[in-house]
Amino acid sequence: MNDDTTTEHGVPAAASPHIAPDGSEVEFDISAFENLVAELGRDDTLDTFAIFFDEASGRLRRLRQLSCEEQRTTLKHEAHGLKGSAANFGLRQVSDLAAALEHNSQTITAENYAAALQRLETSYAAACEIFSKLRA
Amino acid sequence: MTQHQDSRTSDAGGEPRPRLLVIDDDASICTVIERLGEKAGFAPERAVTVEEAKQLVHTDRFDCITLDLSIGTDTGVELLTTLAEMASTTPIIIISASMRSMREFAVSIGNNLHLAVQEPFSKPIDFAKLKEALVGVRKKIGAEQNAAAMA
Repeated sequence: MNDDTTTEHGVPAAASPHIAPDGSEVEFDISAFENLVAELGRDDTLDTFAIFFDEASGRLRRLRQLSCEEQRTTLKHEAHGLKGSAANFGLRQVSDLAAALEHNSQTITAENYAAALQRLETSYAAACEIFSKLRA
Repeated sequence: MTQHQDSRTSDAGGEPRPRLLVIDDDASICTVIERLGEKAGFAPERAVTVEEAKQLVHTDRFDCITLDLSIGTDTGVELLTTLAEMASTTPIIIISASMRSMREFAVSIGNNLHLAVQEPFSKPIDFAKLKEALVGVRKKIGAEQNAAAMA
């Protein structure tokens, strides 16, 4: 199964350049995927990641619809949820950005909230692209 | 009940598997914990709200519980109080993205309430260690069942 174009668990080598050597500030830390493959197998892991991406997309959609000045408690809970699940599935940058949003949820201005969401969505889109290669 | 459901709730010998209650409002995290639980020999069930979890622990018997501390706008600590009122001895594994101090606080509350709170887990979850912890609880249940059968 393993060849020059895939890693041990069948991850396309093309995904690897997205990983920083120290594992920090990356869109998608593939080791989270590989660790879960080691415990559950590839098919169950792909299913589980698909559930994560569905749910994370929903959270981002809800965050986009929130008024940061009137719904700060909801904003905080959505950001907290995204922080935890994104970290679990190797989306470290999304997790870090969500953590910052959770931390600033009670004071963030509308302008800064829009900018924070834009950064979150950009990082999330990059992670989605890597995941689509994993599934291929 | 389908054959697939049978294999999820019974082991290879047809004996009922011990039951794991997974309490978390995140479907992807519930799925991971459930599948790790199945690998460890449990029949998992999930609750996505504190209210749902309270109803389940009142109506059903569980052999292990994993508990998130932040469930929507509710806190998992509420469930610890409910379990204490029931004099529960079920092992509880706290799994939370909250700050370490919050996890330790929840564990200390559980200990003060004389609950069987295990070593807590942070998020991201160390999958291998969580499975190891679940296997440990599973083995303990098996040993207790054997001891009871021999008594």
